[in-house]
Amino acid sequence: MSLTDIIQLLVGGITIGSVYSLVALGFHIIFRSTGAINFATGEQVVLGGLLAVTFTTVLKLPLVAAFFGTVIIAGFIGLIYERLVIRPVLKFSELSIVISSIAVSIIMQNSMAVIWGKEHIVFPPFTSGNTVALAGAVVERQSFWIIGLAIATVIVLRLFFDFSLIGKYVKATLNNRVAAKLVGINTVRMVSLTFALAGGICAMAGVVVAPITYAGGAIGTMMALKGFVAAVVGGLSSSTGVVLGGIVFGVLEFLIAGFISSGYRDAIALFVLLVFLIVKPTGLFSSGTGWQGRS
Amino acid sequence: MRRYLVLVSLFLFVSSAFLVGQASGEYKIGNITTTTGPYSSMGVSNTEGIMMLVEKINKAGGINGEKIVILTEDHEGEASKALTIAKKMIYDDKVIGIIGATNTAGSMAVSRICNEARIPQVQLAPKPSTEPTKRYTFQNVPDNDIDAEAIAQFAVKELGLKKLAIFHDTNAYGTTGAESQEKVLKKMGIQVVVVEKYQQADRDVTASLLKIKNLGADGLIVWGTVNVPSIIAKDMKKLGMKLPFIGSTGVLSAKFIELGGDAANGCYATAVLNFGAPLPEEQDLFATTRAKYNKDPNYFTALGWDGLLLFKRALEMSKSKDPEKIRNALENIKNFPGTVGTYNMSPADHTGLSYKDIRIIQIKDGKPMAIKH
Repeated sequence: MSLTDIIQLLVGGITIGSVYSLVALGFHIIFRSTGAINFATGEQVVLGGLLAVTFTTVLKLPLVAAFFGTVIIAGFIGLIYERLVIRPVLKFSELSIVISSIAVSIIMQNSMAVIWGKEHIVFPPFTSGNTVALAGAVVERQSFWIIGLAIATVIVLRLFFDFSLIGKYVKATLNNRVAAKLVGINTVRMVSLTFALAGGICAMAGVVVAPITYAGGAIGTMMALKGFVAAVVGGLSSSTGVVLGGIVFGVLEFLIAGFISSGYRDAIALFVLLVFLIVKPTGLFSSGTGWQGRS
Repeated sequence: MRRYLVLVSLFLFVSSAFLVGQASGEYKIGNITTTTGPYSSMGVSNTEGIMMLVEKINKAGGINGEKIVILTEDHEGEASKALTIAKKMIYDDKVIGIIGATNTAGSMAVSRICNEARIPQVQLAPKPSTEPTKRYTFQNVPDNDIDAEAIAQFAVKELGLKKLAIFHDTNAYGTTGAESQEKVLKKMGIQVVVVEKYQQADRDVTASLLKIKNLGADGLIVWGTVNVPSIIAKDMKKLGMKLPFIGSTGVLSAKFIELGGDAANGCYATAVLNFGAPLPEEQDLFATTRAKYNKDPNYFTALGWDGLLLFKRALEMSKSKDPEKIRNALENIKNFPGTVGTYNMSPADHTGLSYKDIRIIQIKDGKPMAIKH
């Protein structure tokens, strides 16, 4: 295993890790706003890819319009999801929310299979062209888009939460629900907004990774699992944590496949998850804000 | 007197149910396929092949004057579902034969029931070479051993490769296929440098390909189905790996070319149809498929078509609806040309094909083309 090979593995790991980061952000945002794990996250990722396919091939829109159209529609579906399925059970325990999200994931999976079929659909890379050489390794052009999008998302989210009024309202709601209500913030609407955000972010992940993984093909469960593991590894309640957790987990997957075995890769990766849950359940980078309760 | 009448009418009622089944004037054959699930593209093509042929046969008056009725059900690629469907078809629907299932795991489940219930079965997936021939189970798919032999002959004798790597799917087909491949290559004295595995959910195989490259392999044999082989081809292109890609029969399907895009060009694969230059016995299949679906048949269409063709031949030979007689007829089919190959069945060999029936295909400009060898 030469140095260029290791760099090649790192490139692949950071690329897929960036996707995991976005999915992990999806888990993180909903965890902060409801205290529950949203099991439909994976399907929201797949939905992104499929919507983009429809926008580009059926409606014949250019990529930029397709991308933003997908994100907006996915965000809207997130709002409907919260209003119809989550809000009625918010007053019950987190478990009720989890179970509802499982139901939604099954409904989404079947609906997508009915609308788009279960087959994989080819989605062209955002920019065509040869691979780029980087220190002896080859990087696909789509990798730059994936990593770039992840970085951009993190920056935009940070700006949103720290500098925009709505963002500050949401942040206040996530940090201390009671206090936010007391200062007059409509916390119900803010929770709703988190579902739109998470839906949009997951859809973005789905679009940007579709050129590599193909759109559709029922990979929702796999995406959700990997994204969730990444979130736990990084620290489910920390936004920096989940993003870094995604990168770490992606690189870990590739290094295990390269140095140990490709067949046992998933088994080893999930073993790592078990170890984390036992030894450091708050994750590597957790800032410890944790879950304040849904008063 | 009244009790006697009740018993007699009960007997007539019950026996008439059996008589209705026998005297219905049609041959009922079950088709256990996959229209959904990871193998759906294979199952859909299988069923297309069967239905095109049954239409042709019935339009020409059927067999011995009676029509064939196909009962199709979806086992979604799962062995347990295939088992349930087979039971229902045999005991409830009273089929006289079953074509199916689509994949190895499902076929093995169906084979268990068919051999218990003594109903002849033609499966459309290869059985593992370690499985013994079962009395009621036939297959029109070249065993993995046959496919592996054809691949080995091509790789070693035609391409002159000496250090081969094998990359296989972790499912039943891929695992048993890789075993057959290693066995065949060992017999030819060829060294296998490494055997890598992939899961169907994998979307990037860079790590495995780097290993294969570093061990100095001069050729890669891929045993798998569905979509990961196309990702292997794409990643090989990305890494600039020029070694020949030779796929097993499960690899070559419309989806491999469609998903692989430009990376599929130049790849080799085995197939049973002589794409680009259909042989005489294949031309009917090509013509019918082009007329009905405006596309070429693929390997799985041919499997379905031949599956029914074998039953047709057996029904003509046996002139009976007795499953036992049909089974005997199937076993006695000799020198019978189908689209997959020429069948020579025997008690020991229920496939009747040899490695000479396997064609080597290369993908050129997005189309599969048979290469002469």
